[in-house]
Amino acid sequence: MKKDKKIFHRVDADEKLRGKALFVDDIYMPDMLYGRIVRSPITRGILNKISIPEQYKKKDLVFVTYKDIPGKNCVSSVESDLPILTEREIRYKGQAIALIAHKDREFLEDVLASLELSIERLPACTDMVDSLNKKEILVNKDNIFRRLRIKKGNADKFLKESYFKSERIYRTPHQEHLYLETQGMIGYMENGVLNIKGSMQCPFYVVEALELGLGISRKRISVQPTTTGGAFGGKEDFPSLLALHAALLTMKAGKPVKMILERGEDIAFTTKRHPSLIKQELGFYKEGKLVAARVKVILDAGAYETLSKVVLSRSILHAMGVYECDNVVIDGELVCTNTPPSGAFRGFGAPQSMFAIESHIDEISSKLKMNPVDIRRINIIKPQSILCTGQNIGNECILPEMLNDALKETRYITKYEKNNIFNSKNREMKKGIGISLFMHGNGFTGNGERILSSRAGLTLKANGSIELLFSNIDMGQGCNTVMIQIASKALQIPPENIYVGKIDTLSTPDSGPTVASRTTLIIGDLIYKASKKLKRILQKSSPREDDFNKKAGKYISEHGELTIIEDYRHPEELSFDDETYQGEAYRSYSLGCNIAEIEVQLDTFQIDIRKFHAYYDIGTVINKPLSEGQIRGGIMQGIGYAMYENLIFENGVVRNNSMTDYIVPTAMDMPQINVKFMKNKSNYGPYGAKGLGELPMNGPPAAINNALRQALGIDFHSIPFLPERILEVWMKKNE
Amino acid sequence: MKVFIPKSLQEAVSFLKENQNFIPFAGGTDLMPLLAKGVLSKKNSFIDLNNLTEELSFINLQEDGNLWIGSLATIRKLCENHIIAEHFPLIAASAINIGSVQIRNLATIGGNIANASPAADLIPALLVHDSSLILTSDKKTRQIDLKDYYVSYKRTSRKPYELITGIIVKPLEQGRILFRKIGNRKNLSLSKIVVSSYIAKEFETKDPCRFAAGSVKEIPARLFNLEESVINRRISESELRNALLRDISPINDVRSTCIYRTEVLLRVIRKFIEWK
Ligand SMILES: Cc1cc2nc3c(=O)[nH]c(=O)nc-3n(C[C@H](O)[C@H](O)[C@H](O)COP(=O)(O)OP(=O)(O)OC[C@H]3O[C@@H](n4cnc5c(N)ncnc54)[C@H](O)[C@@H]3O)c2cc1C
Repeated sequence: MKKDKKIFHRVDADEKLRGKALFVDDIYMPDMLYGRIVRSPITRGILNKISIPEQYKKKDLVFVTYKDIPGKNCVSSVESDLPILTEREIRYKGQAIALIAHKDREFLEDVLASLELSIERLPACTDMVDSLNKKEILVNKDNIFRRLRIKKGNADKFLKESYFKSERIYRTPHQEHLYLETQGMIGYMENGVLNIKGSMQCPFYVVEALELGLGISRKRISVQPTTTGGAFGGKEDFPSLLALHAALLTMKAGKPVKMILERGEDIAFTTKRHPSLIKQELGFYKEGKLVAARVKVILDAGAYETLSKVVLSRSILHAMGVYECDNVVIDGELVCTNTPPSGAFRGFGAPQSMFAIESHIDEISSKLKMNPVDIRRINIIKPQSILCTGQNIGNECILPEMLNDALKETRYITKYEKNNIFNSKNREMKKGIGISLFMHGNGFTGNGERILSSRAGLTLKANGSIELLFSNIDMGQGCNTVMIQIASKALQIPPENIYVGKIDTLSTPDSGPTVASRTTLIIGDLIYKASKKLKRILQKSSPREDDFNKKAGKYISEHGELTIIEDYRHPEELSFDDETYQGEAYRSYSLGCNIAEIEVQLDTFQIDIRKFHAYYDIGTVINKPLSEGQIRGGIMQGIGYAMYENLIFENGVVRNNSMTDYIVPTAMDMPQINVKFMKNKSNYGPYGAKGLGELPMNGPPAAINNALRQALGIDFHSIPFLPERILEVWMKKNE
Repeated sequence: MKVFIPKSLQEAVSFLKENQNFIPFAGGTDLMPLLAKGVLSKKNSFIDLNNLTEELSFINLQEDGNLWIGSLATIRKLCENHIIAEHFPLIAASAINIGSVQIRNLATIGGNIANASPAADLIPALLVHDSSLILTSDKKTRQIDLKDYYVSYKRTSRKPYELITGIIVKPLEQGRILFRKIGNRKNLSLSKIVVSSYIAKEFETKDPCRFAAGSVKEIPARLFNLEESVINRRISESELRNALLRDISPINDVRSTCIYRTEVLLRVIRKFIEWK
């Protein structure tokens, strides 16, 4: 047992600390050209013509328009509606119109500045409310891409009959990923094979996009992810588009082409977190029991639908938060606006929902004259609770226990009462303590994992080492370390004998995208099973031998190298109906409780988080330092979302697209964070592990909002809580 | 891009006399972002001052109590200087709150002043110290009060052939001081409001208080009306507010709002004045 406690150091630490890891922009190839994207200067319109001034035509300028696309002019996704390059219709400022490449980057700047575009302007809707009001019709009859619904019991009837009803609207804004490494790709041809190297989370999504857009077989496509410097979901869908751009340029030029987005371009034109508008009508019985809910979740998909359906699906599945309610109707709508397509971002639709429900429940507690804890105790999910899809949460649900631990260890109740006394006496500063409970469904939604059918495994190499085979990306979260750790434990050999194989989509098995908190959970399990299988095979070939190296040596001398690939098998007892949204939406749910202790000075109205307590159930914790790292980082990203990040769109254009003006918290802004893991084990997942990556994002906004409610007596219904906003609301309230 | 790299101050100013389109380049922390943004480009020409560092990064306390600071002294150097820490705490506090370690290593006091940003953090403290600048050209050296140096948004009375070579900082009498920088995070942030203030212990002296603030109008602002109000002991909330409103004209921008800048500055200053 003691050996298990040993800290596993990150396997990528050395090369990153020494600057040896190669990011895509570190790669130079002989004869390489640089590619740039010609973007739409307007938010909505019709492109009539684009031409290059005569003087540039001769100078080896590579120029690509939609006419050069050999396959279908669309980027494959859940809905493949985003064009690779504009044919006629322009739906957002920055939409790609054409591509240019040249060996001289400054020359490209000159060309970009002097291109002649003939565009007919059309009036736009850049805000989701305008789109909902059909100020202009952008798509379909009503600007709605898609509707989804979940239903349980009879919400209408019980809302009417409830003792107390509360109706609120919540809004959340865009959020920019701000990964350290901006998006980048290199494309080149070699022996008739298209090679794509770049920063990405999902190499096989890129393969699919190239297949469809270029009309070539995946046997002639090799995608090789380079060291990826952060992603947070931002490199789930967007890299498909950039890879297509690099591929088109390299195919036309016959030379390698590198495309790296500048920071300003990256912030302005790549995907963002979906803005949301969430309406909730909640009905309660007298003693505080939640009896009915009518919820509408509207997400701003941006100009094209792309993968937004699955984001919406996660939003509505998390719309009730951690509350059990017998009568629920949840409607989801995806609305089109003339802004860049929204995309994947850590939490994937859940943070919006969690902020709304956790703020609302807290606000209601004060209206019902209950304390914020009691209303939760009555309504939270417990073992055997039934979620809105009819899924039984099972016995592993330890939320009540987590809540108790958190309350006791943080002395929440005492502090809550002390703050009330403090606030009644103090005029210069106010104190608040706020709680949020949250969860996150692990892995792909519903039948997603079944459809993905991931494959992963390992090779016993001739020299006795183990090469792990999977196509998930270590983008900084540490999954390579965790996979080695899982294999090392299953095979009972030292981690030094195991390494992760370089990913090349021509040879590496497709283990699906690196998203949805699924890597440890799903791929870790495949690696675990492959390791166990290898162990059995070696055991069989030399039953009396104990030493792994000797066993492996014997096997190799007799049979040569051995590769084992495990195929994902969906647990038979889990089923989900994509039409009715009934069934097991997720195999397991990770749980969390955040408690924020804040102070607000009444001169600057800045929120000072004095302490942040964070409790989690992620099943078995496989690597504690890495898990804590994910949590602290996730909390900071959540705090950023709640208090700092404010992407300013003006007429569909980002105004603060720089590190100077898009404010994220720094290490200096990090409060004292106490992290605690609950003891629990999941039935699904290696060694009883559950998902972790996205969970920490779901808690902070509501916890801070609820602390603000106590401190200032103000109910906020949107983020971010900028001091400017707090001041104005405070002045209005105290006039 | 043309860059001229003089070896001495004399060489620099005689070159500038003939080449007035050359832009002085010190730490480059204001200029590099402008190059990256495309506001400046390879079409511009620069005169690199970094060989003059030895000549122009002095920090000397004079016999009259004035502190002379060379324009190329880095912010880091200001932070580490004992005289500043002990006798000019407003300057020390302003300096340590600038940017990050990396920025402070490069950024110079001359650059902070010459860049003329209304948000420059050092300037309010220098204004409270009633500082003046030494401007050097080929044949001439002149001195100008810092409060008269700024003309309009990012415009100064510096002639293109002049360099800022030094700053003369006058000491303050005994009293209370206040420095507050209000940014949108704790580190690496530009000021939404920055304020430096001083109130003499002996209120009857001829110069009993000075207030200055940044990011509250188009140039760094000495708050003369407020000072007068305080001297005349008109310090009710409405009196202070009226005085302040005559001193500042804040705007809404990506960093903050007009209301926030006004209200918070007023609250911070009131707290300081009322402090007993
Ligand atoms: C990430 C970052 C964070 C920052 N944070 C802050 C902050 O918190 N507070 C703050 O106040 N500033 C901040 N700045 C701005 C900048 O660092 C300061 O204004 C700095 O003092 C400028 O000095 P420099 O030597 O780098 O100037 P440079 O960039 O070299 O020059 C700035 C301007 O002054 C002129 N100039 C320079 N020296 C002279 C001279 N001797 N004579 C005449 N003209 C001259 C130049 O021509 C130019 O117009 C930040 C900048 C960055 C990039």
